[in-house]
Amino acid sequence: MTNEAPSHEYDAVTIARLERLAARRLAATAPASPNGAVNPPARRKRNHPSKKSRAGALALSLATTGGLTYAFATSAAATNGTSSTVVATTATVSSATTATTATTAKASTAATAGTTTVNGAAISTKYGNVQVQAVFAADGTLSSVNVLQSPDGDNKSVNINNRALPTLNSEAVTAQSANVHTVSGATYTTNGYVKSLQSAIDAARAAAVTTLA
Amino acid sequence: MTQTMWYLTRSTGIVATLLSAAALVWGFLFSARATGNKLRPAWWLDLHNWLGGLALVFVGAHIVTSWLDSDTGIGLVQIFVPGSASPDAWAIGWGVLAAYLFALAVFTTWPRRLGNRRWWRIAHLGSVVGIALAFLHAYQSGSDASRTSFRVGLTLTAAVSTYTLGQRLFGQLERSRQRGGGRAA
Repeated sequence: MTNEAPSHEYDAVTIARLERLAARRLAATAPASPNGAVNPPARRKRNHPSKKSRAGALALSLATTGGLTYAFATSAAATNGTSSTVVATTATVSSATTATTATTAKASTAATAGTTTVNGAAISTKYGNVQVQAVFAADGTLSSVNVLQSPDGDNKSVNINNRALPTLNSEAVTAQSANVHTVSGATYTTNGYVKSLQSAIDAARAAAVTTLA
Repeated sequence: MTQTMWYLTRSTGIVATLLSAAALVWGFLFSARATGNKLRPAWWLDLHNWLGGLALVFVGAHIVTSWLDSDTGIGLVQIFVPGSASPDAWAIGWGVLAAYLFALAVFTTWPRRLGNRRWWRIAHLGSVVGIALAFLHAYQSGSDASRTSFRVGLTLTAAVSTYTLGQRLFGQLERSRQRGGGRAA
C-alpha cells in the first residue's frame, strides 16, 4: 500500500507539465527577424515554486539571529550589573584576606615544610572574578601559583581560561613577579590575574615572607 | 565590537543548526513522498534547496564572526583544519567537518546534472553526518549548551530530524519489499 495518487492523476499532471514546458520553450525561442537572421533565445527566468516561503524563511532566519543577538547582549548586561555588585563586596573581603595572611601562612607551613601560601584579592572583571593563590618557598621565591577563581560563566570563558591560565602561571614563576605578558584573547583574565597576584605578593612582603616586589 | 561578534557567532550558529535541520527534514519528507497533496512536490524540493543554501550562508556567517572575535582564539588554521583549535580541539573540529560536509552537499547540487548521480547522492547524504556533527559541536562547544532551553531545543531538533530519517529509511525498505514481493508473485 503506497501513498501514490492514482495513475490517471499523475498522467494529467505530467501532460500539463509537458504542455507548460513546451509553451515555455516556444516562448524562449525568439522568432526569426524579417531579414531571416535568428535572434538569440531570450534568457529563461528560473521558476521558484516556493518563492514566498523562501522569503519567509530568510526573514525568519534574520529575525531569529537579530533576536538572539539582542537577547545575548541583554543577558550579558544583566550579568555585568551583578559583577559590579560583587566588586564592592570583593574589596571588603580583599582587606580581610590580607589581614588573615599570617594565619594562612602558619597553617600552610605546618602542612608543607617551608612553604607559605598567600591568597590574592579577588579581582572582578567584565566576565567574572579572578583570584590567585601564591605559594612561596622557604627562601621567599615564588614556587607556584594556583588559580582559586576564574570566569566560568560560559564555555567560551572556560575555554579561554583553560588556555591562558597555565601560561600565566608558568610565566609568573619564571619572572618571579606579577609582570607577565598578556595572553592573546585573554586580556581581561590576564589583567585580573596580574592584580590578584600582585596583591598576594604585596601581602607576603608585608608579612616578611618574601622580598619580591 | 568583539562582544557583538561573539553574540553574532552564537546566534548565527544556532540559526545555522536550525536551518540545516529544517533542510534535512524537508529533504527526507520530499524523498519519502510524505509531503501530502496540499503542496506540489516541486514546492518542497525548491524550499529544501533554499534552506540548504541558507544554512550554508549562516554557517559562513558563524565562521566569519567567530574569526572576527579576537577572544575566541580562532584563526584561519582553526577554521580550515579540523582538530587544530586549542583547547577543545574536537569540540570545534566537529563544526569544521560539518561545514565541509554541508558545503559538499550544496556545491555538488548545483552542477548535479553534469556529474555522476551516484556520487552526488553520496555527497548529499554526507550532510546527514554533517548535521549530527553540528549537533555534537553545538553541545560540546556552545556557550549556551548549559542552558535548559538550549538543550531542550537541540534535543527536539535532533528528534524531529531522526524521525524523518527513520520515515525515509523505513519507507524505502517497505517499497523495496513490496517491489520484491510483486516480482515474486
